[in-house]
Amino acid sequence: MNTLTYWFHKLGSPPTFHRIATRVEPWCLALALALGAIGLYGGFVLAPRDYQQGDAYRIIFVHVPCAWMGLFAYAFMAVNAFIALVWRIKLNEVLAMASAPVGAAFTFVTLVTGSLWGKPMWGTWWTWDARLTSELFLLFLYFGVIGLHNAIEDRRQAARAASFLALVGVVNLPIVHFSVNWWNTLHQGSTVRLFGPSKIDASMLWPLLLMALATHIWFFASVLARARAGLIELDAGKDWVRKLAQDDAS
Amino acid sequence: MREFFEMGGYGSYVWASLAVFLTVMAVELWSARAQQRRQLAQVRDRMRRSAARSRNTP
Repeated sequence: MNTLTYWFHKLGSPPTFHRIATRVEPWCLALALALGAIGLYGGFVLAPRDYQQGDAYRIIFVHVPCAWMGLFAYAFMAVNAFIALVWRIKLNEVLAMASAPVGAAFTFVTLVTGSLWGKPMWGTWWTWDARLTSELFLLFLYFGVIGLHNAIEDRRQAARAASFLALVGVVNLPIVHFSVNWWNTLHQGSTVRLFGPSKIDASMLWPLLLMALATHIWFFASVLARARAGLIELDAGKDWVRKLAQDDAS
Repeated sequence: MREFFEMGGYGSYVWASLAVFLTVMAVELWSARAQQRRQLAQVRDRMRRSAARSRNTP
């Protein structure tokens, strides 16, 4: 076995992953908080007012990073669900199930802040157009995965069933992303583009990207915390968990 | 300062968005931590019960 495969196998073992996650998690949290603080300061204080939307546009600095995270968390969950279904690796089942509540939280924030942005700009809290409806469907998919996972007694069977649902729901991701191009909608098109120039000034772009980075790191911190709990639940009878529980109590 | 909090008349929308974001993130992390504590407490509970059972069986 070469070093990389060995390392991969080692990381996949619950006690090793738990140990590493415990060490990495606080650093992730601290980094996310620091970057988030700078990003919010840049967005809410330093960035200039928008010529069209005034100060209301500042909602972008929480709305857009959260929207990206809602999609990113789903993709992360789907990749882990795929690995869990094909290779039946315990760690990936746990990671897939750990990312569902975090993704749901981000999607919820996206919907609420979008609503708070829509009221002053569009004159309505909600409209049943493609972007908003597909985003709401994304939230329901997360709820479906979480609900299915909680509904089945056997934890591994539950994770596999929920993983299957997560994989089916992947069709919604391109629909959410491209909905602003495919249909007529109140929602504005993409501001930041991976390919081609972004339609936003640098003074507004850097806080936005910093917030995106902060929310990504926050996502991983939270997934690690939930994955640790998931591994403890799955391995409840194992020696490493018993030792951990004793150490935790003392 | 007052001008900053008013956000050109959009203050309530802007600050409500920020508040929702920060609150949901905090609650989400807290629930992750709580889940971990709950699982460990369950393991300890089970260990105590099995220890008691082995003491009581002759």
